[in-house]
Amino acid sequence: MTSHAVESSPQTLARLGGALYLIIIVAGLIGELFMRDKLIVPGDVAVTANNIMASQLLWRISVAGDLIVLVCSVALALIFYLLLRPVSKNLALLAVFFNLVELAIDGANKLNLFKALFLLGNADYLKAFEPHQLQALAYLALKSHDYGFGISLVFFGFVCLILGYLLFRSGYFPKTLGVLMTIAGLSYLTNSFTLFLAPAFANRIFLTIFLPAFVGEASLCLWLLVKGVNVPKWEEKASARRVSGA
Amino acid sequence: MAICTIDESQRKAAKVAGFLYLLTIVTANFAEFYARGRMIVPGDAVQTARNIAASERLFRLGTVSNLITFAGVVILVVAVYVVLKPINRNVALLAAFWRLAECAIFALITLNDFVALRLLSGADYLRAFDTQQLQALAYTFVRAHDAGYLIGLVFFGLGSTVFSYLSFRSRYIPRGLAAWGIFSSLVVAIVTLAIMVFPSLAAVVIPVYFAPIFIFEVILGFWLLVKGIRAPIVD
Repeated sequence: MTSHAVESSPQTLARLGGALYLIIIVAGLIGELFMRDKLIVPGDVAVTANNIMASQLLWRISVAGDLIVLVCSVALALIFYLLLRPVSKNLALLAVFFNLVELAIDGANKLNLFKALFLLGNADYLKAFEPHQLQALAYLALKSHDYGFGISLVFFGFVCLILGYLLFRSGYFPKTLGVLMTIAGLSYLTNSFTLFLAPAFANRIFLTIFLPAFVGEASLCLWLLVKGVNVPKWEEKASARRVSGA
Repeated sequence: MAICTIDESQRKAAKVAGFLYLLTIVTANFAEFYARGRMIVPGDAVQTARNIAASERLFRLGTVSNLITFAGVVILVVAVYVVLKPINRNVALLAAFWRLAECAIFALITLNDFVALRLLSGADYLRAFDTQQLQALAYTFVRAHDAGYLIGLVFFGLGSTVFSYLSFRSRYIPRGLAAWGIFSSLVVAIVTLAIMVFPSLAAVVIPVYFAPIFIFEVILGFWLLVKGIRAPIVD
């Protein structure tokens, strides 16, 4: 195959994927846990509003951080497609599609974080409302952001399930990674559907749910960075598929 | 010269597509017509709010059922793409992309359901508004869901038209059925656009204008599941 020579080698893709994944995990954790979580006081609308306006820059940095996560995730989706295509082209495509839907939803969802800023911005036209009304609306926007994230994670849950299956079947990644990602996918789905159907219960199980998800994703990230892909086995599988025409 | 062989992955994908057409018809209709239809009283924010508060569980199940639909459609789209790719890969990809945009839009509009629920939740911080204001706001979000659904339907109509056109060309399914698919998908796209411009149309054509596409998807679903796709006869 002549076209083969110009394509990136699977090992380069794996390292690049690992690096992107690391950025995603680190930026994601910093944005969510160390920036916004410090400003948002559950149930206390006024304090939350004051915190956000007192640290507007931090707020905006956290949103920008989220967007970095999202753009890196689009690239990572493509890398997973290329790396796992030899296992099943159609399932690899399905994972990309789920991923794109997830990222489009979450990208649009960031609007809620700006909405909160607009509502708390003391603009003249907002004087039509009382301050505590504006604070309540801003808090509502933050709650919407939580739900929007939950909705996007339904689709990401499916991404993890499919990746888990493909990793497991690949022969060029350890089967354990496949199992861990499958568990991560189930955790995300459980988290989202609990939030939708029994929101009071969701807060209590949040951490227990996110721990396995974090373990799965962090393991995959580190494996890609440190070990990468088993290139001979990848080549073998890729050429086998090329011959069979699939 | 037509392509006259069907490989195993196409056959399998056709079965998956058939199953998912039927599944998503059930989940979508449960969500939009059963759950929402029972609770939402057009033009009456107060009654709508009362209904939602009284059947919160059903309202949540409706939203979850919608999300299951949209996740199912992502799988459906890839399955149909796999079936029709040999006919014309680029055109099949176009249809798949339209329907993918549809899924993202549809999934995002379910956020309005949760905001409406929040507004009616009686949380402390919402006492900044009086009950009537909260009901009016909740109703606005309920309506935003409906308007968002129309936006998604335009993408659906276009994607479904192109998939039906490829089915027609492929002869994998009876041509009459595929032609009916083209017609009914175009009806969805065109009438939906018309409703956006002339909202008073909605009361007249909803849900009647969904009848052709409903019939198409039910028959297509059973056809793919039971009979599967057949290799076209080449002259």
